[in-house]
This record gives sequence, C-alpha cells and structure tokens, in this order.
Amino acid sequence: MWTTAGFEGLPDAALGVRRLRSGATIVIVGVVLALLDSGIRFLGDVEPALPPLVLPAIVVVAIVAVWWPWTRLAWRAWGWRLDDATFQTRSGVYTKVWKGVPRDRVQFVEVTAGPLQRSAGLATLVVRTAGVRTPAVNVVDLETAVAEDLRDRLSPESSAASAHPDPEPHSEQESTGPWAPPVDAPEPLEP
Amino acid sequence: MTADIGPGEPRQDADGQGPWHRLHPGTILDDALQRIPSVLLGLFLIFTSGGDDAVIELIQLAIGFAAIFPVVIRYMTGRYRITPELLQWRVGLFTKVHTDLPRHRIQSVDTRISVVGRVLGLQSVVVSSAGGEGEIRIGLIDAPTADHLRAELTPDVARTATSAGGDVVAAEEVTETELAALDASDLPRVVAVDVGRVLALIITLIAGAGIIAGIVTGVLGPGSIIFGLPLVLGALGIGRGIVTEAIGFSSGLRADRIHVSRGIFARSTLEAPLARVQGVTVKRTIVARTIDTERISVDTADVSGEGSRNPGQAQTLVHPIATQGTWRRWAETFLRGSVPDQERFRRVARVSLRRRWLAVARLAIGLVVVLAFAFWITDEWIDERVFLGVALAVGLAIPLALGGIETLRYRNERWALGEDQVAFRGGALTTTLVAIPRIRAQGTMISANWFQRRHGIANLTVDTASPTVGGTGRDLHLDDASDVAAAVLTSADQEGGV
Repeated sequence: MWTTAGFEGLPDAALGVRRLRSGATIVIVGVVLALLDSGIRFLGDVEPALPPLVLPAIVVVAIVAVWWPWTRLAWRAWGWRLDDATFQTRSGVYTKVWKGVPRDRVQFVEVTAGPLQRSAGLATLVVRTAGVRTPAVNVVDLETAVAEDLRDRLSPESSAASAHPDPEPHSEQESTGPWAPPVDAPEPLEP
Repeated sequence: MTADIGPGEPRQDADGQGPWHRLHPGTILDDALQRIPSVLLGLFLIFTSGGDDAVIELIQLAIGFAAIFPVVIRYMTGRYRITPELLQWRVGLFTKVHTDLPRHRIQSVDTRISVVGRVLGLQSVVVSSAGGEGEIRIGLIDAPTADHLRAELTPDVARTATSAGGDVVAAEEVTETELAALDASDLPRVVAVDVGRVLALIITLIAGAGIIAGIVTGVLGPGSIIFGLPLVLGALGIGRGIVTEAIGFSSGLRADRIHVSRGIFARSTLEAPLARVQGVTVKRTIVARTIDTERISVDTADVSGEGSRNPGQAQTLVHPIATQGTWRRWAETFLRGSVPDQERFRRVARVSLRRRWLAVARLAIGLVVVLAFAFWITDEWIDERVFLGVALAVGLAIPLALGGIETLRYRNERWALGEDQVAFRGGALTTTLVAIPRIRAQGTMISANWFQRRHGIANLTVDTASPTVGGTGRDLHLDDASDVAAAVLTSADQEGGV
C-alpha cells in the first residue's frame, strides 16, 4: 500500500517551495521568541541565566534540525497515481494516508496556484467528490502542466469518456483524442 | 412547460417564464407560532409603551414592532414559480434571498404540516437539492396546490436508475409495503430502548423542577426562571422527540420511495427516494438487544449541503423498534443488493486490543502526572489521606472504565465485504451497524501510524455522500483494508453523482 509502484512523486521544486513556505513560519516564531526574550529582560525583574537571544536561537535551531529532514521525508512520501478507474494519493511520514477516488465520482476538479507556487511553476490540484468525510483529494505543489493535464483527464466528462469509451469510434482522431484514457496508465490498484 | 399551480395570487409574468405565486396568509400565524418568544416580547413592548417620556416610548414601540415584523416578512415577500428549468424562490425585504434551483438537481420533495397547517388545511413543501444550493421551504400553501407542486417537482432521477452502460432505464418498482405503524401501545418500548435520551430527559426535568421548586420555596429569586425555562423547554423537546417516534409514527414503501410520517399535532412527511439512499444504519442499545428490537434508519445524500451542520436532516428513521434482524431484509430492498451473510463479518486485528489498552495506559500516566502536580500545589490545604484516596479513585477508576469500554468496543467491532454491500459494526454499550452499497462509495481512505504499520494494521474509511453514514473500520489487517478499498473503488457505479 505505502510502497506500491506506479505512484508519481512531487517535483524537486516542490521541496524548495515547501521549505520556503514553512521557513517563513519558523522566522516568525524566531522573531516572536526574540521579542519575548528581550521584553522579559527589559520589563521584568528576573535575570535569565542565558545571554540575550541565546534561548530563542537554541529553540529555532532545534526546530530547524527536526523540520529540515522532516520536510524532505514529507515531500518524498507524497505521491499520486491515475489509472483507468481511480485517482489515488498517498502521503504522511508518521501517519501514512492513502486516498482513493473512483474517477466516475469526481464532481469537479480545480487547479489553484499562489504567488510562491506560480514563481516555481507549481500548482495545487483539488479533486472534489460528493463525499462528506473526504470531500476533496488535494495534491499540493504539482508542476502546473501536470496539474492541468490531470484536471483535463479527471474532469467528469473526461472520466465518463474514459469509463464508457465509444465502442465504435468514427475516426482515428476520436479514438486518440484528449478524452481517451491514458495510454501509459499504471497497473490497477494492488490489494 | 410552465406549471399552473393552483389559485394563489400570481404576479405579473414579466419575463414570459410564468407567474409568481404567493404563500397563504396562514403563513403569518405559522411564523408567529414559530417565533413565540420574540412575538411575546414585541407585544409586551407595544402594549406597555405609553410612559411620560416620548423618546423612550418611541424606542419601545420601534423595538416591539421590529420584534414582530419578521413574522410577516415571509408572507409579504415570499414568491415562488416553476419554469421549465428552475424552481425559483424569492424572499426577504432587507436581506433578499433569491434561490434558483435547477429542477434536474432536485433530490427530494417533502411535506411538513404544522399545527396551524393542520387546523387550516395547509402544508409546506420542502424541496432539497444536490450541490449545496440549499433547501427551499414553500409554505404554507393549500393542500391541492401542495399536491400539484409535489407532483410537478418530484425528481425524475428518483424514478430512474442508470445502468452500468450509462443508459437511463426505469428503476425497479417496489411493492407498496407498510414498514412501521406505531401507536401509544408502543410508547413504553420506544422509551425503554432509547436509554440515552430518556436519561437526558430525566436529568433535564430534575434540574428544571429543582429550579422551579427553589423559586416556589424562596430559596432562589424569581429571576432564576431564566435558567429554569430553557430546561423545561428542552425537556419538552426531548419528550416530544421520543413520543412522536411511537404515537402517530408510520413508515412505508411506496413506488420508489420510503415514506415516513410522524408527529401528533404537527405532522411531517419525509420522503427518501430509494435511488438516493446511501446506507442503512441499525442501532441496538442494551435494552433493545434484551427485548429483541433494533432501530433502523436510512441515510440519504447530503442533498441540501446542510448535512454537515445538521446531520439529522440526512437520516430518516424508518422504525424505532423493529424486530431484531429485520434490517437484513429491508437493507436488501433499500440498498438493492444482497447483505453480507453473518459468517462474512470478521473481527478487527487482535493487536487492536493491546493498542487500545496502551492508549488507556498513556492516559493513566497523564492522570498520575496531573494528580501529582495537583498534590504538590495543594499540599498545605488538603489532608494527605483524603487527597490520596481521591487520586487513587480517579487515577484508577477512569482508566479502568475507559479500558473496559474499549474492550467492549473491540469485541463488537466487525466488518464484512459482501457482493453488493460493505458493512461495519461497532460501539460499546450501544452497537451501531452501517451497511453501504458498494456502488454508492465516493472514495476510500486508509491511514496507519507507525505503530499500526509495524503490526500490519490500518484504519479504513469508506466515504459516502451522506453526512450520517460512512464506514469506518479501525485496526483492520492492512491486506483486508486494501482488499475492501480496491473492491469498493472498482464497484462504484457509473452515474458520477450521489
């Protein structure tokens, strides 16, 4: 399940974007800790044992030490797979999650991209079903072209065409059109 | 085709799409009854105005009328019409609500009859849709108009099913069958099996009675009625809920729908099209198991998009005290497919019990730490022996009770993958069984943390379009979870909808 072949990973650029994105949070945490440290020193009566800004620096370094390899592990854990019948994703480092959606159940597909993602040529694919507990299967930080291709292939009309191919195509153009099932579709889901 | 629905007072057909129809004036009375507190407040303010200060009087009158005004808004501004493509609804004065509901999106059409409606022979027609457009309540309107509206709006999709090849074919008609017809003689059993609600009712009644007794005896001030009234109203609500599951409760199969009628004074009729049923839920409390009954509900799609906020809307109770085992027969009719045999129900992985007790042990350790900290800070105020006694009772009783519940839960948890349906059973004291047609699955999810992966187990979720039913299996063998997921994914039907 977690090591099944045929899953596509995220591009290298996604790792950089993810590090930038969460790096900004770490910077904010560092600044807040530094302000607290300074505030306690100037306003409080206590005299901390460590020199100024050393404690915030230690905390930030500890966070970075865990976060840097963790981001890589999380990036490597992400994968998606599209076959004739299903769209699947897998993710997670400590708790691994696999999601599968029948292509016939896809209600709509959208591709979104923020400024950071656009600058790196990435986008987020959101595949929505009518399900209540897992209403959307997201793949964050896909290459834009891949996300758009998946959107086209996963859109309900495309899935319908894939599920019910015309038994007697009228021309070669139709049989190999954009709505035809992918030629190099991976093997179906292994139990 | 534009529907000509009943008398009413149609407005000008400005765009050639058909006339707009108004609600019945009885709507004002109905809305007034539903807003009794604000109406009473408004009337009180209006009739007690007339003091010396003209400004205060004016403000009092303004607030009074403002409290009453919403009562007439729906009647004054509510308009509906049916066009060939849409059901259109307009309401509101300051905040205008314009709802255009595509007719092909209509999922169910229900009838509700309030007390006022019963007296005046009026009804409300509630139209639910797919795709989150919401729910439209048209009413009160007179009964013939309601019948006409219902016939006009009944979704064709409920009358049809889609074959695997994508062709629309006529849905299989079911024989008209009475499923439940309860009366006052069934009330004791309905009350007995609903332990949780009865306990809530008793606690609420005792609390409310205590406050009222306190006011009468002078222990509490008259102002305490503010706390007593909601409790009494709450108790009435709970009591009404239980009573209406017996007196006047009936359900049946008609054509392609499950019909449920309930209510004593105010009656509501719910319809669940079989084509939209996402699953069957069966609940058995300890008392229910003792007297061989079960509570059967059908779960429909989250048609109005309101389901996540009010899941009760998507669950329709079919029988509160059906004879045990009835669900198998009914599930085959409701879900149109065979139910997994009893032998196919399998237990979750044995290691699951160890995992649950480990979680309880973690909780116990946490409790000990918290209690030790509490002992440290209260050392000077509380007697040492008293504290140790309480700490032991809390530190042992809570984990042991939770461990016992988790053991019961582990013993009750079962899952089964059938030819047409997947079923999950769970619960500790009250067991719940859900049966989901494989063709209705919207997706599946398998998750496993490090501990679970080490033992080759995982949690499985089978998602449906109903907020009230979803299959969840905890600590299944990973191979089993994968098998179920693969089977469900490959058997989802080709409708692409709900």
